[in-house]
Amino acid sequence: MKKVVSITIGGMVFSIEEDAYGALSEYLTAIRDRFKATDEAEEIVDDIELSIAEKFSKKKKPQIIRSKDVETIIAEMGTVEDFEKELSEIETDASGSDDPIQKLRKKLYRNTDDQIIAGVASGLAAYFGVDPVFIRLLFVLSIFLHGFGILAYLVLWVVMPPAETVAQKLEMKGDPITLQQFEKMLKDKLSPETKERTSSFAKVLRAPFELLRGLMRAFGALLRSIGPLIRVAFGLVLIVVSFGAALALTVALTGVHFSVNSGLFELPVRDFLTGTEYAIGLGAVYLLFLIPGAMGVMLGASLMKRQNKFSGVMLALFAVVWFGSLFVVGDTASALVPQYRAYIENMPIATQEHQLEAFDQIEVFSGDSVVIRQGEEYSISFTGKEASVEDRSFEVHSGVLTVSDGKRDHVCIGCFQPSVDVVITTPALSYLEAAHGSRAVIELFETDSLVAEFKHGSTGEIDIVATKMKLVASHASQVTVRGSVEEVSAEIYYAARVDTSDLESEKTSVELDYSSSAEIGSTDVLNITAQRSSSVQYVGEPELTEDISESSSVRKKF
Amino acid sequence: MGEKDFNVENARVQMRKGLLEFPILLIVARGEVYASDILKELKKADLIVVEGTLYPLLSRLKKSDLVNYEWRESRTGPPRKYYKLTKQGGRVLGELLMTWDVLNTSITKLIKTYEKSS
Repeated sequence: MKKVVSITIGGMVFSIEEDAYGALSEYLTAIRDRFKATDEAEEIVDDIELSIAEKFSKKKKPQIIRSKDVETIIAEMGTVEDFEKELSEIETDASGSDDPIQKLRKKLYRNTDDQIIAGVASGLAAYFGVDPVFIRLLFVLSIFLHGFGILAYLVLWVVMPPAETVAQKLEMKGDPITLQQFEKMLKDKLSPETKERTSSFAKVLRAPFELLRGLMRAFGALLRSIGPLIRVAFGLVLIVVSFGAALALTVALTGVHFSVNSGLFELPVRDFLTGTEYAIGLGAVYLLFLIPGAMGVMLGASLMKRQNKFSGVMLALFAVVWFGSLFVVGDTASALVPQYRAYIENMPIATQEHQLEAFDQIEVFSGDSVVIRQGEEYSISFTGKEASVEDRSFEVHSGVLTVSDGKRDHVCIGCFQPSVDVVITTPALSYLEAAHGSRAVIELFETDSLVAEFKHGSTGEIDIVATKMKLVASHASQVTVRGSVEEVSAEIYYAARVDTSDLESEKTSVELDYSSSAEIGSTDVLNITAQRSSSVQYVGEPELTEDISESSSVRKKF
Repeated sequence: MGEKDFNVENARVQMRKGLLEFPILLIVARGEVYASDILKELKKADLIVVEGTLYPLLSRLKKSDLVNYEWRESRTGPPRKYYKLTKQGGRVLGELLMTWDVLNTSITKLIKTYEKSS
């Protein structure tokens, strides 16, 4: 008993047995697949359908089409394999790059007909033409390589599609797609014993991964549906950003060009390079950044319009120009560097000396090296490269002398700041602050009390005789103090270091925090507070009070 | 050895498939024909093995603008495509005829020389 279905071929209605219909439709699908790379697939299949309809209609009176009829027709028409053999090379070429010799092309599918878990191993086995047992064994063994086998299986499960249609199953095995193969596969498909080879354990194990596959598929579908929106939005953003960047670059380079000979631009580039070199260099820098910008705009346009705006010639041209620019920029820079070095070497040395009104507090922010001397007068002197010396500014304001570099507050392109030696003379000193990598040396100074702060990587050497001194060292600053001070207190934090091993005192209090360290010289009373990886070394036998926490240490030094 | 390597059937197929478009054009050139007519002729001349091969070839000739077709109703079966040669097709056929003539002459000459010598 067989089921009969009605079909329309070439505009005519035929009754056909169900299995014959299956074979016929697989055959037509195979032909359509064979020519799918050309735009003629539909026409060819239509022609073949017409021809089949004509053959059917020539049969004697109302008859049902059986498998045998289909077989005869396929034998007359020829299988896809026969087509390959008979069609000229040109024809196969015209069918596109999509694999002219389809029967030899294997594809990687999961074999759902022979699966322990998901058919990954048997699919791989079919692809490589080995027995699935070996692949399964490899998977099991590689589980012991830090579970690699499991991970590999899961990834392949998600990546490999299942072989669902007959054509896919044939592709998986690399069998030629012929009627015989189809019939064999169809028979296999219908026979019950190949079904249900999956254990219930495997089913449970499979559920989450099938779910994952389902989710990924849904995600893919979602991406496809909102894809155009994202594409257009992304394209638009890309165009705006690239165009904006190119515009900004144009403005910036124009700015550089016009400021090159002004006071803003201290580096006399125009003296180093000839007019041509300068123009070429500037142009090269411009192209170096403009080309990626233009590519960005084009990519954005391609994305928005969904058509490739790039051509091979243009890309090649861009590549050549870009690498050319890179070369020119490199060449210009390498011509510039020695000249720049010589320019700095040859800069004249200058000294400036100024008398000042009274002060007893000093702030140094310029990053220079400052020597503070005790003397009768109030004065300051700068020695160094002329340009730097001229840059330095100083000011006395309500007893405070502030030294800074004048250009720190305004825009300066290409400025360089070789440091300057500063000597400050003053009869009195009660406060010193050194910041921004400055270096302060206090030469033997007698005073009643002194507060000294060192910040931001500054260094200090203090030689002092005083009653009281407070020292603050922070942010990787390093300070050495010697001489004698009756009462010393120090706050040392953020990886700062203080050395008072040549300082004599009666009472010393130190507080350290955040990986700071201190070496303490001889003192009668020593109070230590140390936190967070700080360390203290001391000498002698002081009356010691310590409060140490969080991996800090206090050691006696011999 | 050499005989084993050389596949006669393969060579025959190669010859035939290189030629196939030429006889198709010749048949179409005779007047209005449809697929079954062409197939009948080709089979008679033992130029085609499986019928299905014809359709991709016709489609290609149509695409290259060498042939054209029009639909006609049939009393007995589905509608048919009746093919005829285009102007361009006529030109190409002329060139192919010339090529064939040259080929035929030289091959015949070779065969004759061979027959004489043996």
